[in-house]
Order: sequence, then C-alpha cells, then structure tokens
Amino acid sequence: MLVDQDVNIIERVLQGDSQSFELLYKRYARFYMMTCLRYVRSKADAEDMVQEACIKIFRDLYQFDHSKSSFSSWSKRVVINTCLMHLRKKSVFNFMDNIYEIGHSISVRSTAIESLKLQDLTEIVQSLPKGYRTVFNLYVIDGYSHKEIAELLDVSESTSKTQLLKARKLLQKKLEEKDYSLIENYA
Amino acid sequence: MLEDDNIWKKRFSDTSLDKESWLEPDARVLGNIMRGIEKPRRYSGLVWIILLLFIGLLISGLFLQRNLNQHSEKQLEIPAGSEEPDKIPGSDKQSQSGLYAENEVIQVTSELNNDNRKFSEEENYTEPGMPVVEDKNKERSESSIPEKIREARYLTTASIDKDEPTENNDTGGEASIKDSRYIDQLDVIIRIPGKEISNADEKRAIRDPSLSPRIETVNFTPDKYLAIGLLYESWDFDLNSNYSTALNPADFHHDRGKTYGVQFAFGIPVSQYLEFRSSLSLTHTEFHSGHNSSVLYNRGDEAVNEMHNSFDLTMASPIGFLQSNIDIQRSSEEQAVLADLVLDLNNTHRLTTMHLNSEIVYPLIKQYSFEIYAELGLGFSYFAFNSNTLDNISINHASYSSIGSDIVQEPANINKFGIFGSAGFSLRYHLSDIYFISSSAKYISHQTALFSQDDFSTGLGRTAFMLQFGKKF
Repeated sequence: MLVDQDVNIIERVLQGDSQSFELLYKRYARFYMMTCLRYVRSKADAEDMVQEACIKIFRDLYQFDHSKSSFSSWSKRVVINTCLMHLRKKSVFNFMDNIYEIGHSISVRSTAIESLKLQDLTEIVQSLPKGYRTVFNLYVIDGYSHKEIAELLDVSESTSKTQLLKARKLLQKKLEEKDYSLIENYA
Repeated sequence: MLEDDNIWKKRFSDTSLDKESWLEPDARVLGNIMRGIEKPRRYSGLVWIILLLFIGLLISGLFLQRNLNQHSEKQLEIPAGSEEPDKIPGSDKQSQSGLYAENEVIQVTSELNNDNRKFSEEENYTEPGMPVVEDKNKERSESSIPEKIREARYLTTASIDKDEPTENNDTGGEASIKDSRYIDQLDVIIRIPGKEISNADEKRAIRDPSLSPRIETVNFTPDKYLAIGLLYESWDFDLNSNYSTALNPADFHHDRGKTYGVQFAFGIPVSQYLEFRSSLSLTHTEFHSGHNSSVLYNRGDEAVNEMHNSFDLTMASPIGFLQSNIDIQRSSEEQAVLADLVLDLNNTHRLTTMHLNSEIVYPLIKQYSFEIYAELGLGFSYFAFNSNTLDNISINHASYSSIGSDIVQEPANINKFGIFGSAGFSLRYHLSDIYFISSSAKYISHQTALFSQDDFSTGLGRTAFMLQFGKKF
C-alpha cells in the first residue's frame, strides 16, 4: 500500500507538481537521516546530506522505475552515494591497517544488537573510525559486496575485508561495554 | 556472523520510524530542499552571449536611427526658395579638366549639418590636393530633391574615384565637378587634383577643417591590420551544483583567477561594415582554493621513536582533485591514541593557456578618430600546463602540527581543449592613418567544462580587458 502511495506521489511530482515532493520527504526524512547518521557523526552533517540527496532524488526521479525496485531502496542508494561523496571530499578514506589491534575477541552478542535502542546502536556505529564505519555500513547494513565497496571507495577488496574485520572486532568490544553498562544499570 | 549481520540490517532497514523523534531533520532542511527543487535553471553562457549581442545591435540601431532622424529633420528645414539649393556655388570653377588618382575608391561621409552652407571659392580649392565633389546622379531633376533629402542619412556614402582618365599626373592639373547637388546619400565623387595621392593623403585632405561642409572618412570600411597587446582576465569558476554541494560541508572556497597575457591579432575586412579578426593569446592564470579535511591520527602508526605520521590526502580544487602527502607531528605531551584532526588546506593553482579566437567585428559608432565596435567570436583554448602548491596547512589541535607536505598528483581531469564564445566591445583610436590603439572588454563563456569527473564539473567564464597597438596595411 505504501508503495502504491509512493507511486502516486511520484507521478504527481513528475507531472510538475513539485509541492507533492514534500509528501515524499515527510514520509522518508527520518529514514534518510538514519542512513546518513550511520555514515557521518554529526546531525548537522547528516541534515546537509539529506538535503543534498533529496534534491538529487527530485532531479533523478524520472529515472526511477517502480517495477524494478521500491522507492525506498532506490532513494536509499542515492542517499548513500551522497554520503560517500561527502566522505570522499573530506578524505576519510585513509585506511590505516595499523590501527591498534583489539586484543581480545568476543563472540558477537546478538541479543545486545536486538535489545539496544536504535539511537544507541547508531551511536555505536558512529563511534567507529570513519574507514571502518563506512565499510561496515556498506557491507553489513546496505548490502554492498566487497567488490562494489572497493570500486566505490577506490580501495582493494582485501582492504575492504580487513576494514570490515576490524570494524566487527571494535563493534564487539563496544557492544560488550554497552551491554555491561546496561547490566550494571539494571542491577 | 551472518546472523548478526542480518540483525544489524533489520534494525536499520525499518522505514517506520515515527517514534524516533531524534531523527527528525531540522525544519530548514525541507525549506532548503523546496527552494532547491524550484530554483530556475541557470542560463547557459551561450544565451548570455546572444543576449549581449542583441543588446549591442539594439544600441547601435537606435544610435544610427537617432542620427538619421536628426539629419533628415535638418534637411527638411531648407527654405523652398533658397538659391540654387541643389548646387554648390563656386563649383563651376572646378568644372574643368582634372587630374585623377587611379583605381581606388574610398568611402567618405558627409555630415549634413549645414544645409545651405556653400563651398567658398577661395577656401575650398586654393591648395593643391583638396578634393572636388562630384555628383554622379546628373539625371536627377530638382523636383526629386526633397525626396532625396528625406532619405538623407548621417553616414552619407561618397567615393573618391580614381579611375577616371588622367590627363596629367603632375601638380597643377585641374579637377572638374560635373554637377553639384546636396550632399546626401548620393554617390559623390571626390577628385584630388594635382597629383596622384595615397589613400592616407586623401583621408587627410578630406578631414581638412577648412572644407565645408565637413567631409570625413567613414573608415567603417575596415583595414587589414596587425596588432599586439596586453590582456588581463578575471576567471570565474562555476562549480556545478553536485560539485559545490559536495564540497560545501568541507568549507570549500576559491577566488577568481587573475590572468595576464599577451595577444597577437590579425584583422581583415570581409565587407563594408564587417571585419574578421583572429587572435592568439598566451596567458598565465593564478588562483587559490582551500577546504577542510579530516584525518584520524593514530599513535600506533608512528615509527619507533618517532612522533609523526604521514597522510595521503585528496584535495579538491576548481580544476579537480589533487593528491597530497602531509606529514603531521605530535607533541610529546599529547598521549591520546587516536585523534580526529581537521586540517585547513590552502592551495595555489597556476594555469598556462593558449586561446585562439575568431571574431566578427561590427562598427557601432564613429566620432573623430574614435570608433566603437561590437565583437562576437568563437574560439578554443588549450590548457597547456598546470602547477599547484600546498601553501598553508593549519590544524585544529594545538598538539599537532604540519612538518611537511607535497603534491604527489596534479589534477588529472582537466579538459585540455575548451570551446568558447565571446562577445564584447572595443574602442579604437587612430593615432594616424597607419597606427591605432585599441582597448576592449568582453565576456567569454566556455561551452566545455574546464574540469569534469563523474557528476562533478567546473565551468569557466572569463571577463577580459585588452589594450592593443596596431598597424594598418
């Protein structure tokens, strides 16, 4: 049903009713913000990304084919590309393999991921170093392959895999700390 | 691992986020978006050129029309019973045999501001080399004169006909006026008695203020010439919306390019009122740009007993991306393992460029020795060399400082060849019949991007000022 509503709104926008784009924005603004906040740390930067991405979405709306994908997934890719452009300009892809190694490996606690609030989870992802964060977001959450990530970020596939591995280790540590603090709070 | 990935994905893929008020963007975001999507399309440079040309032609048309009206009105004020209104008194004296220069016709003007003024017998023809005015249209009846007067134009075309048989090329020859009438738009033959004269001599004679009515060379028939000059240009870099929006968060800034150069020009006439000019310019342009860049300083990357790290950074500029290597030193007091640093990077860029321009030059106004021209051209540029230096790096953290930097890769996506259109005006002052100086101002719009990569590009507009010295031949 939501998809049908999206298609109706998009058709109106394409017919020249640019005001209808406001409806699309209101429907997806938070989703776009959440996506951006996984890639950049500050809300102000995320808002800038949302703004730029929405203008791109409006301009490229004629390219959207609802028979091939949903509007949410299509527009999310535009948002992600916008974030990557932003990060590239800020030269965040200084992937440093020698960043400090996490000395311990803990099994991932799925329960923590499920139980934590979305805002807390977002903050944990945001706390990752930028290179780790970018690869983790692209691979785990947004479904890109290492090959696609390598092309997008102009790095080798092995670099992407290494970054992901280190991101996972760091996330385990942070989740563990978060989980312990939650336990302490409850105790 | 895979199970956890799925949970992560599920948590962040939910689009129903009504309860998550912390994700609500600021209200200004929507306002900016709605303004952004309703922003009118910018006119391309070509449209501006056409608009400038239109304005130029309009101004020249209005100017000529105004003068046409003024002089027509003056002619219509001639008293009906004036003495031999269609004849220049005293001209009979000149209706004798004459000596004519050879095979050359030059255009002259007659300013019709003294309707019944007569040629003085003594004034006009006492000195050798002065022109004799001849009307080719003998057949015209007097009754047709008022009609012709109404048609009189400010820029009356006349000609010096040197193609007549010459009885004697030495001084002392006689000129004849076959008939004299109003100097209006009729063809008027001006014969130079006494000697074979050069084009320059003729013009000088025609400009003699003792001659009344004043007859002046139009000179809108252009001459061939060569010119050399100096130019100054101000380059306006127009980053497209994708590029500028992407760079805005990094506080990207740049100034206008300052350009100095030399120009060589060659002009030839293509018609009575048009001149074709081709010019070659060699220019040197310098401008500055800068932005912030963030790096993560990691103590773990430091070499043993060293307290500095090296970073490879991508830097943006109006002409594309540069790669640099920056060495950052940590002070011994700083013990943090990781530090997010923001670097303020400032670059200087230099471009060496050749421009080949072809222009059509159209005369608008002539007053004494001054002429104003409208110019419309097309050309191409070749961006031959570029060099860039990283001038200044400042770091937002007092415990870290830059101890060295280097540009390791210059911008690789400059479009070496660019096509442009130009429009402008020039003011030409004739120092003599051979030499002139000219100053011009024009706007040059490049129709091809100076830099393009993916959906990023930079357009170029140039405002040019030139000073030239030319020699006609």
